[in-house]
Amino acid sequence: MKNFLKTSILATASVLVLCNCQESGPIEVTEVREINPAVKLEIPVLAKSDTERFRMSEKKPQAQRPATPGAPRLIWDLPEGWKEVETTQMRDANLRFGENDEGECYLTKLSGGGGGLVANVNRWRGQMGLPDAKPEEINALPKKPLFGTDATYIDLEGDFGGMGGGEAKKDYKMLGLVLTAQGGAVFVKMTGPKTLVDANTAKFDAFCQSLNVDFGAAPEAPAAPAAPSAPESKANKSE
Amino acid sequence: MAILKGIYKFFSSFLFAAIILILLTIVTLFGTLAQKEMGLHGGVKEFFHSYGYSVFDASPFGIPIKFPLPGGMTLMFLLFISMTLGGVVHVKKRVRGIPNLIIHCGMLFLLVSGYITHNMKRDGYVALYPGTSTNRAQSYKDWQIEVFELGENDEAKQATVIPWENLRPIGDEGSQVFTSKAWPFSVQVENFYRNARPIPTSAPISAEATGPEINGFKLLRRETDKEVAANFPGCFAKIIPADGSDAAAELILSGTSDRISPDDAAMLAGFEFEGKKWGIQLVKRSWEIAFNIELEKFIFEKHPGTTKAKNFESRIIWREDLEDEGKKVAVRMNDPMRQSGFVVFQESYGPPNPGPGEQMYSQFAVSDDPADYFPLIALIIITIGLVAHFVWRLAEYISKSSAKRRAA
Repeated sequence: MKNFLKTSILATASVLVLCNCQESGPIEVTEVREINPAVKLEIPVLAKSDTERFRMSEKKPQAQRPATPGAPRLIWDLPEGWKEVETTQMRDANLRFGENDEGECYLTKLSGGGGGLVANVNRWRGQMGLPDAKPEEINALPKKPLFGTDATYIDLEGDFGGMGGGEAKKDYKMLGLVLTAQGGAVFVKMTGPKTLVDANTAKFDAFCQSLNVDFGAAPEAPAAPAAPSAPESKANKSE
Repeated sequence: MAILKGIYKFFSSFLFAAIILILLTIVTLFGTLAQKEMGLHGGVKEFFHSYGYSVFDASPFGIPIKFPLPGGMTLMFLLFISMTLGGVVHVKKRVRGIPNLIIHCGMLFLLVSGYITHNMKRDGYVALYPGTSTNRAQSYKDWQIEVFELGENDEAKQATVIPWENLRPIGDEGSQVFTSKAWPFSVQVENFYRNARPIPTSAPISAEATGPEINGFKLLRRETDKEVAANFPGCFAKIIPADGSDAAAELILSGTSDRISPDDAAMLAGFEFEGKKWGIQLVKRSWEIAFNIELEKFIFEKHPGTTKAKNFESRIIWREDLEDEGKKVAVRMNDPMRQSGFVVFQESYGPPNPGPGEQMYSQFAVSDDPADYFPLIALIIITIGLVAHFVWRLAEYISKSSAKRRAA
């Protein structure tokens, strides 16, 4: 019995020492993934910068998805003094205002829940140099109508670091509406110098209330962005 | 010897079996309650997949409760021992005991199949827009680092993969060097955070980030989200020359560089080494499935007047060889396709709020379980045992009743 115990202890110690030695040294990797040139999405795209690689610019590595002919359109009333600029992958409505277009307002749709209300509001707070808020504080934020339902209204002031990695812009203000559901989210976000945003707050409200979907001659009505209720998608999409 | 006999007697006893079953009931109850606060994956991992013990620390009824529970896997092993010793080894070997033996063997087979599934099953997903195809499934939660040698036009033919099994143990403070015959250098991966974001140093929040600044970015560690799909890992990678001299390149790798939608591609970080171009990326773990799936058509129906999905199904073409014409199959909710050991379920779709002109994609759950049919086989074995047991006992009863009547 004693010999058995001794042997067991020695064997266990040897295994532990061997395991320890194996982990501290370099590990040779042998797994290979062949790139199938016939499957375009398997081909990685070399990012031109870290900003692009971390998805902090609006450059899209692949061509924009083709629009379905005759499909419904997102419509809105353009506030006076504002102008429309080209939409991007992440901006389904893209507007500018101010003398030098320093104010911007855009609408973004995200699939997969977009990370949820709390994560997104705190992400925006981070962009304004503000600390994270508690979930209960975020859930208690005021509501405003968007696509016929209540969306969470965000009003933040601070230094806007944005997503581009440039210098933080002083004395900025951000207004936003966030509509999240199990399967997706819609965001309307306005940023600019505080005085400019204050002067355009009423226009922001009017723009949000005017947002709608023109079903036009569409063969089948699409899901209204107001109340997405699809099962949660695992495909993450981040701004 | 007497001790061994005592141990054998205890492990094969009804008392031991009853204790294990009661503990399994308790673990199931509180493990399920804990999922409300820990998330589905977290709760399953903590209580049902654990070998040691777990601590239940939650407020399921508004009252904080904290107490230890034995690990689910440990209990399953003990149940296996109990059933093997008590239900197979210890029972008297006689003809009338055969049905009982069959039932226990069926249950043991079920436990074995569960263990195989736990260790070998791979769950992933495939998301496709109509007209696109793939033969790779992606993991929901596991990641890998891929290193590419790039051609003159930045094209890549193959990636050498640092698998998740080697990345996971690195942890927040660890470091690990990886080599490959395909590389003239080694890759040192440091600080593998399960959830982190690259933050430009100009953003005030970057002050909270630790670690080096690389190309104007720092890596900000975040709390691990209870929903595993919401976590994007991040780490530092150093390209170390073979002679061990100073790093030729230092990079921040982030899961945010991975594909953000099914029609998107992952973004590579480029670096040069000895005059050649290389690329490296941190992406979701992926693996080949035995066939190619092409989404021919996605059908989506809503309940009238609502945006709630009534039915969604995918018409797919699967091919074992890309040259083949392929076979058309409809995959619907609760009606998966089973092929070559893989099961393809209709899981979800996106974007959930399709905007003007947007196409919809279909998402499939792909399961690769070598023990997929084992529970069915176990159920058949158990059913045979139960039927045999019932018929045997019925025959005995009828025989005894007849004998009694004859005697009377």
